[in-house]
Amino acid sequence: MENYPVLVPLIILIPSIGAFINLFWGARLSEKWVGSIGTIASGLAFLVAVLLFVYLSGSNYQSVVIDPPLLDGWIRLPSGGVEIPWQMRVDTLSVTMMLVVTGVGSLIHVYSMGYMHGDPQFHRFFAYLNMFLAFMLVLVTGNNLLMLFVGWEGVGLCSFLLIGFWYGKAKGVGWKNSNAARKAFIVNRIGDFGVLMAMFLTFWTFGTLDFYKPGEIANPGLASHAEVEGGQAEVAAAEAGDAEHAAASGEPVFTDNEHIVTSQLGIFSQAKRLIDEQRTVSFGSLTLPIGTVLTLITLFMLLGATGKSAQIPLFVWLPDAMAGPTPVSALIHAATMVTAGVYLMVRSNVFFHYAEFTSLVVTLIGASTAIVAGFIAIGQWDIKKVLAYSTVSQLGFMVAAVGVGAYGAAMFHLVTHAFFKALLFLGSGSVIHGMEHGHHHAAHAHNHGDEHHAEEEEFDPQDMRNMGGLRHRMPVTYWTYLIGTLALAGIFPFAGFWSKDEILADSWLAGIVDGNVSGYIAFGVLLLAAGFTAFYMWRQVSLVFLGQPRTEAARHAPESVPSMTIPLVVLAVLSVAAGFFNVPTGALGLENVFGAHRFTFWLEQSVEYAHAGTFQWVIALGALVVALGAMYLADGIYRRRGLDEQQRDPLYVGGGTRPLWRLSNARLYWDETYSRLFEQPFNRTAKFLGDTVDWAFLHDYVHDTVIYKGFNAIGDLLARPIDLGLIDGAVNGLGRLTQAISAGLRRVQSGYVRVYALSLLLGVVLVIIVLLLPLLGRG
Amino acid sequence: MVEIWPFVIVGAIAVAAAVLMLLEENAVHSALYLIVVMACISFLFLLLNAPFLAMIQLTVYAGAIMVLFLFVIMLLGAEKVLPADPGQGKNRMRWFTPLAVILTVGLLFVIGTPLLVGDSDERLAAQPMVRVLNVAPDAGIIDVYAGDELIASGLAFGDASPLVTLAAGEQAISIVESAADQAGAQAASTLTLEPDSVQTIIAYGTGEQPTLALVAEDLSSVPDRSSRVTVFHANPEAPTVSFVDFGAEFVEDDTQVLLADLAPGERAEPVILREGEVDWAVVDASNHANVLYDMPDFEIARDRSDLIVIAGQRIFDGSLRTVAVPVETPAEPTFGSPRAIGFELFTTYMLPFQLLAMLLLAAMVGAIVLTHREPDKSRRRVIGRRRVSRPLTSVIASQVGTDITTANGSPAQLPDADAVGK
Amino acid sequence: MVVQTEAFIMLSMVLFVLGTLGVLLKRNAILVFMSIELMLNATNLAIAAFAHQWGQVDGHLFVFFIITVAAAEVAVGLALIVAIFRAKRSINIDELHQMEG
Repeated sequence: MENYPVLVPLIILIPSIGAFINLFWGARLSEKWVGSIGTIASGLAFLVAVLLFVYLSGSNYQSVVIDPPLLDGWIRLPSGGVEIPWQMRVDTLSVTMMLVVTGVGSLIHVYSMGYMHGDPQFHRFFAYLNMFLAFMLVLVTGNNLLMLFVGWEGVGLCSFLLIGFWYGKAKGVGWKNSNAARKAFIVNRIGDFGVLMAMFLTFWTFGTLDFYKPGEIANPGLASHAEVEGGQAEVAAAEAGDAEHAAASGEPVFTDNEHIVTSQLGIFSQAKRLIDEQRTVSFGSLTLPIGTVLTLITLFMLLGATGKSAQIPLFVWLPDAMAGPTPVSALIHAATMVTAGVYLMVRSNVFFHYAEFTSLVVTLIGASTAIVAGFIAIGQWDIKKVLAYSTVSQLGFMVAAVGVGAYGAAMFHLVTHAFFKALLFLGSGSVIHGMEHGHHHAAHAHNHGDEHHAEEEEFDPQDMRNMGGLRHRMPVTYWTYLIGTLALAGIFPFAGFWSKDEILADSWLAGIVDGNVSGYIAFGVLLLAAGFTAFYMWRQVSLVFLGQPRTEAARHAPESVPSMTIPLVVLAVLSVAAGFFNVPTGALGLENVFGAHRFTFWLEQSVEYAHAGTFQWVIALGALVVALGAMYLADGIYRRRGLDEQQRDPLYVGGGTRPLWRLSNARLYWDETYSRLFEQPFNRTAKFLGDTVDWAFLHDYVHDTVIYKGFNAIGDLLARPIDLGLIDGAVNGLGRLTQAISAGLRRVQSGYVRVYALSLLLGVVLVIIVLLLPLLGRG
Repeated sequence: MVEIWPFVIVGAIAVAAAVLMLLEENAVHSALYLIVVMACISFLFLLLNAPFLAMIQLTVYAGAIMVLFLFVIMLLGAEKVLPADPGQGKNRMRWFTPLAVILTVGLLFVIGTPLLVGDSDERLAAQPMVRVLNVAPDAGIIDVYAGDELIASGLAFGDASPLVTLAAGEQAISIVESAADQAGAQAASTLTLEPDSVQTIIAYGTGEQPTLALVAEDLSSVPDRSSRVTVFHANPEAPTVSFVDFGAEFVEDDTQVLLADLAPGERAEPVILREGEVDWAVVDASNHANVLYDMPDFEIARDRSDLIVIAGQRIFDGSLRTVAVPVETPAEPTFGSPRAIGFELFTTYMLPFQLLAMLLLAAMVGAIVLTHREPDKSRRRVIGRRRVSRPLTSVIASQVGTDITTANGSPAQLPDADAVGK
Repeated sequence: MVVQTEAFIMLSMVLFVLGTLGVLLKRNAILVFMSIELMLNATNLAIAAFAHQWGQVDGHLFVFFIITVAAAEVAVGLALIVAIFRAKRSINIDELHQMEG
């Protein structure tokens, strides 16, 4: 068992192999093979995660850093002092993520075998799913920020590929899909900039990107045990939270990091040291105190989280991402990828603990996102859009939790949310499939081909207005969906109740105990958002499953195949059971049954500031009342009254709420505003640069006129006046000169003898003059 | 010396004839004027002591060359050549005549001015020529040195060395015994050699050390069939002598005294004697009956310059006998005489002479080749027969007085100049 | 009175110049030739005068050679004139300008 951590590279390798096989040979294999390969790969990865869990449980939650084979010495640049080893971290936080990712991932693989049945690109889908798993696991197992970022980018790529999976669909639908994929990628890129800047600052400040170096203790303040003994001992030790107490009781205590030099520590331990010593960091001529630097780092990390985890202002891609297949929405945009931002912030809890300003900003962003997204979800008609905005809202909960310092609560909600949101998405997928089949069936039954196409085009299987009364047609889907809804709404005893209430309690406590104003704000806003959540979820259930079928398609929608329904059941069970992983103390004695704060305690080994709180049953009760009240309200509006003949929302019809509803339906004009603010100026600038600067100026003027014509002019100048005129003229002129001279000289040869004789005489006279001249001088 | 008046007159005639030659239109007249010029020049040659040239000029130049000219003039009928029309093609050469005249006059001036203004070089004096005559009876066979140069070797009594050219001025003449070192000179003296002279160094006198005397000779040309005789008395022990020709044996008072009273060491003036045999006797000047030395049948050849030295010769009994030693040298030929010309022509200028002969041969061949025509037997053109006015034959005929006719009776005509094979 | 050598040279010069004029100005080829002969004669006179002045008979020899060469030259030259005459029917040297540039 001690060697289980060595298996951790497998967790990345196995999905990669699955992706590789499906990508290159999937087209030749049958659907069964392709799906099996993908699912088995995912399942094996889950198995490895389980083994790691077993190991950690059995070894006092000691974190291990593994060097994967063949990658030793990478990346190392001695000349630049850069040492970023490719190492994988096995600790409780990463194993938590691993379990969630691979577990939910495997279920969704099974589901996809049924959902994507008949798709011509079946193999590509599974290849991308496996590839996504591999990258996500790189993200969570990385021991340094660089590995995290590699996974970060990789899941962004896979998200792009999967959102735009049906890029080839006709009549502009494929174009819309690829637009959505591009939007996701580009908006994510803005967030990636944040992560990059955080990485640069981190490296500059600490000289390394490693979270914790091998041998370091993540939470040295935590007293631990020589061996794990039952829940009571753990509870006692956790309650004590005190090393001295544990030492006094004779229990051995882990050594902390104080004997290690600063440069040998990871970034978090270094940060603590630097904060203690109040050091400064110099950036060339600029010197900043470490607190400011940490604030900057965390702000950039927040930027990355807003991108990846769809917070204000970068959440706009998530609703559009619903263009992808529903399994994709379930896996990536509910359970795993969007949680990467939260994971990053939880991993960097040490930074956020010291950066109070950032924490305030985080809280505000998270809270505002939760309420805004919840508000928008109320007015949506598309079944998946409701769930998308719900995801954004729940992510806001998690981010707000991080902001108030409730890292454990955030992680807990992350886990439970993964279960029930995936359940809801898969259920919606089942509904959509049923609607499609029902529509097809109905269309064929009623019309024998004449208006076949027209009707099919206009029919949107995802529009809730076309549904209704599906609880009779699709019972399994209905009951599992119901469980998911109750969990999401936070109804006791489902998982959402426990996780959401822990967040609410922790934010209240942050307000009361720590005196943070942000805690109060967060509490109030989140409570309201919780109400919204219950409201729109029950609205959805009423519209989809309750009441009467509103179309023929709804009337004939069949239940989905078992490969789709079985994962629903599994997830429903988890949605019920997951809540009891982290029963807080004082929770009506249930902690004695399930163990108190098991999850928080488990998480504390890796997350230093994941403290556990007691059960605030007042808040819990209040939240429960709010949720039930909202559900009752929704029930009254949507089930009992239902939609009117024109299928308009009653809130729309009702006068007072009409403007609000319209605002909600229009998604607060958020995308339109972005378009006006950013896209159009950008397009105008691009058009300007393209048409004017590039074409008119560079091409036409610089290239054609200046360079081309100028060059030709110079060439002409050189050719005609200089070459022809001057040089040829000189050379020819030389010839002509010679001819002229010779023509002149030729006349000497007149042919007349007498002239020759005369010239002889002339010469003689001259010679005699020359010879006799001295004589004249003498004489 | 050339006299002025013949020169002026003949010169004037020559110039006039030359001018007339140029001015004449008739080519024959011009040729004749040229002959006049040549005759004048021949006369001027005579004035310049060049009789040979004068003869050659007349015979070759005037006699052959000009005759050839006249032949060709008459052949071509060129005695009257109509001048070409000045209009055509001569316009562009109108500058010619003035320019020619200017240049020619310029030439005259250019040559004349230095001639009149400049000095002519002095004639370089010739170096003296010297030979040695050994008439010292007791000296034996001697070598003679002039300075360090051996000018005579192995001279016995009565021998004369050939003429050598020495530098003018003082020369240290030393006499040593033959083949002996110069250091042990028997006699040495410094003699002054004059330029342009022919000197004979006479070693005479009794005793071991002979006396050196310098006797000038004259080798210039002698009149025709004559010879020049110079006598030198080089016997100090003999009395003053006279040269006497006793004449016929039996005729009284037929004694001719050729030279009288020549004292020892004296040199008599050269006399010119006609060639022939003479009987001379060297007699005591005071007593003609005392014949010291008899020279019967002494031949006087022509064109010679003889030096007779009266010396004492030691005879077998040790006494001294007076003898006359003749040294005969051919005299120079007369300047400009054919003999003089021939002398140079066949020695120094032999090669140019032969080359010129070859040249003449080539010229002959060339002339024949250039003018040779294939005899045109096929056709005899009737048309365009060049009629020469007064062809040579008719001139000759008129002068001779008879008609020269061909076989068919018509006056002889020159061959048809038209039928020239092209 | 003794005639100086310069007088002879002067006379020779005058004759030479006259000959030159004849060569240049006369059109009749034969007359040109005769002018050349006149020049040669003048030269002979000059050489003989110099020979007389220096007393060297080499001058006479030179004159002899000149006369010989003149003879040869006249022979060939007149042959040429005859040949030309046969070709061109004229001895006007101004008509002999075919070899012109």
